[in-house]
Amino acid sequence: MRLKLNRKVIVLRVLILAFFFLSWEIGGRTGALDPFFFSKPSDIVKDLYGLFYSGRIYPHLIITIQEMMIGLLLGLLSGILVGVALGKSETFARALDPVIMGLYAIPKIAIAPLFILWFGLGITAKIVFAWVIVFFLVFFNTYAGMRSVNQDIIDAVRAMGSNERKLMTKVLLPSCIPWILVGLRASLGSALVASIVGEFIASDTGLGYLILEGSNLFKTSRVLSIVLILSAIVVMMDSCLRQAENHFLKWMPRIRDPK
Amino acid sequence: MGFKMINVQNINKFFISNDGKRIDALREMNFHIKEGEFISIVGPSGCGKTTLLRILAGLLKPDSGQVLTNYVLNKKLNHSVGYMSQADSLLFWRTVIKNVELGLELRDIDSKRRKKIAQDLIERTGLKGFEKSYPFELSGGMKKRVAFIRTLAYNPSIIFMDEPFSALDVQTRDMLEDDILHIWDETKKTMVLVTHDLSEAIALSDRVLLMTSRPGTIKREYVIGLPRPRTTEIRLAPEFTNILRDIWNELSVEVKKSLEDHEDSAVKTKSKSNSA
Repeated sequence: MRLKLNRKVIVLRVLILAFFFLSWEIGGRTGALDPFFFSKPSDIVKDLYGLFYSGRIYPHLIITIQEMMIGLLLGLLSGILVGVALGKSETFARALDPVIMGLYAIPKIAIAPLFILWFGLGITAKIVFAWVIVFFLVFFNTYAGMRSVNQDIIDAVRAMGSNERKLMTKVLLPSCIPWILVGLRASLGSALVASIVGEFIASDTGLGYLILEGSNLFKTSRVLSIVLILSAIVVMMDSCLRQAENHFLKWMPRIRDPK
Repeated sequence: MGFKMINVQNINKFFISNDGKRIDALREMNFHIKEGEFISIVGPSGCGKTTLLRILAGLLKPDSGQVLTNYVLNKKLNHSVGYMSQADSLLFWRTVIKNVELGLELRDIDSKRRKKIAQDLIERTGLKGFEKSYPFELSGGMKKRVAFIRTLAYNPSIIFMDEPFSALDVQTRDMLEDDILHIWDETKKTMVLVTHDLSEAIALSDRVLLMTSRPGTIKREYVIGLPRPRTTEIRLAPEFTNILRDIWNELSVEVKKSLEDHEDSAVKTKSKSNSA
């Protein structure tokens, strides 16, 4: 029953995508959509093929993924660390609240140029920028997770003779995992946005640089090729995260894979 | 039956309510619990039963007075107690067997021995086949059973239970009460049960302590002389009914008092809001 439904969904998906690209292509060929502005799927495929075949894409791809991944990792670790620390100490959390909210309220994109100023034209500025963005997402989620740990469970485990360290590793951290995963999921896209925006502002490599270059040269196909690659990166990372969720959240009625 | 395992001396506890008033929860409580004894604490709702239990278990400090466990003052949390709360406190991200192993894990017992102890308890309580299940896959009664053997697994010298079965249907309750009676007969562990269900208290206990309405203190103590080993069928015995009637009469006086208090304060707040 379930399997059949899944197959239906897959067929429908393929049909919808096929319809979309086909009408785009036809529109481009008949002149209903001006290929100068909108390109067409066949041109994008040609451009993508060229980019990968010549190998020109790889340095750019690697730099952008590097920025994103290092930013993600640093943001994830520091976000969990600070979230847990503030979750443990309410006084400290309340004292820091205005500072954190103030920092959070700043639209990060607006201060992206500052990061270039501080950390230079290289990869560092983009990493730090992605880091800051991911940090807030993970931090807020972890903190909320720490605040919502079930007091009955804490009591019970304390009464069972747990010290604070074991309470942390056996109760607090595991209960935060779903929250951290939510933060991480939101972070995937944001980290990529951060590296691309950083590259827009100042860079000579990276997918963001390629987009900017393409649009300056009026190469719509190039811009859309890169956009396609970006979307593929996020989709792939998201499906990896889904695997991780299935592993970590086996105990959740919803997430368990259908049998 | 041995020495006085827990000695409660003149304990008082108050709380500050949201509107800043002082509410006395417990007043001048004095009693003791002997080793190997099964004690129940009953009383009208809101009389401070749970507060008392948390103090006995060392989860809460009294404002004055002291609790001695094995003649030692409860200062830090006593590490050889089991505490079973009303709420479901299983770690929902752990399987049944991992939940039962928790207390042993906290005591750094190696995984082989942990597994053996947990497996043994699981089999003895009819949970075989559910070792790898997660709490959300269990019924309410099974969850309680897991919570109970989780407490037994690390062999605490005393087990505190706070209305553990209040959310269950009657049949499941009877079954779990029989489990407890059975395990008590086998292990002769000291157990302290807080409940609002008189018949549960009488069926399980050696002694029932009746608390007054708030501020709670011990009103009377009933020694339950019913023969052991018991099962929950003891409820059908005529002596049982006599004891039940006795305690019931006392308890209903306290329940009425606590209801009147509620009405009083309700009237007070009403007249206050009228004048304002």
